[in-house]
Amino acid sequence: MIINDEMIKSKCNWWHESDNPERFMQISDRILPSLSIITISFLLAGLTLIWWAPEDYQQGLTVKIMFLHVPFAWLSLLCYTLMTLFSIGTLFWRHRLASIALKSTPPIGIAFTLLTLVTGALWGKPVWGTWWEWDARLTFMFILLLSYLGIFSIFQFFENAAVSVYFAAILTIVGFINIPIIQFSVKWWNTLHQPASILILGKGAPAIDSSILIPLLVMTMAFALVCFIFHLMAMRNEILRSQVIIRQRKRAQQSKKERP
Amino acid sequence: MTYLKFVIASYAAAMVTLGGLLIQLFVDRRRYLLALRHLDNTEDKKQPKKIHTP
Repeated sequence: MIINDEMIKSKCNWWHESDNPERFMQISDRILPSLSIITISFLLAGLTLIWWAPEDYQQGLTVKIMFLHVPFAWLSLLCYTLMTLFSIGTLFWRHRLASIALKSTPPIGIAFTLLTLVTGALWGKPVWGTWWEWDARLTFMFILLLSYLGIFSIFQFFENAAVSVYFAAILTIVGFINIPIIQFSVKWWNTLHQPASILILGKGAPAIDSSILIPLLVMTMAFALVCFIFHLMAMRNEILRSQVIIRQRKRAQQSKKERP
Repeated sequence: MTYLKFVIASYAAAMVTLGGLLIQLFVDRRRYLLALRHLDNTEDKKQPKKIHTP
């Protein structure tokens, strides 16, 4: 394949365009209303399907908790994986939007991980007979929550934005080791938590009935859209915050110069 | 039906947490927009008035 100057130029332009907060604000402003309507439609469709979904022959009504617990667990892992990609973008390419995205993700990750643990406990009590067990999957999920809290606190405690992003990116990349451990913990250790029944690698079809699988997939899509919207909103807020800080600093410098 | 309270509690937890996060995002957005508007207003006042001469 021949790579000419124009191809390199267009690639550079694309990269430069993708790192433009103002353009991001314009695009996100345009897509947020329609995205919200699609998300609400998915949520309503998911809740209707849950209402009509049959009860499990062993777990009874508690199976309805699965429609929340499983999407939250998947999204908490997805958020961290995305944070790792944003960290790589920040550290290696100094991409401004990647650092903004990195700073905006921890609160959303904390919410989804916390909800995974809470809904898990509420499902565990009637099914396992206990709220909490220091089981491999549960323990590593708790460590994930601590990682999110650690990264979030780095952004809160450092005054210098560049330093906080640098440390948070390093901590995120180091903490990524936890993600495959969580995913495969039910395979590697003999745990109380059930093994994978939907994403069974190398085995083909999921082990649950379509009457339960379809509402689960619809709810997963709905919460993924919720997560995406929240992330866009958080990124927009972060851009607005930085605009306020820059303008306040400029004003402070101007008033310093004007003073005799 | 004894398990209904667990189901209701998990849906309520999800609603409160995600609803709370959404409200927080709107509150933050309003705070920053107000701060930007305040900066705009004070900067406008600082600008010297243009004198129109014939």
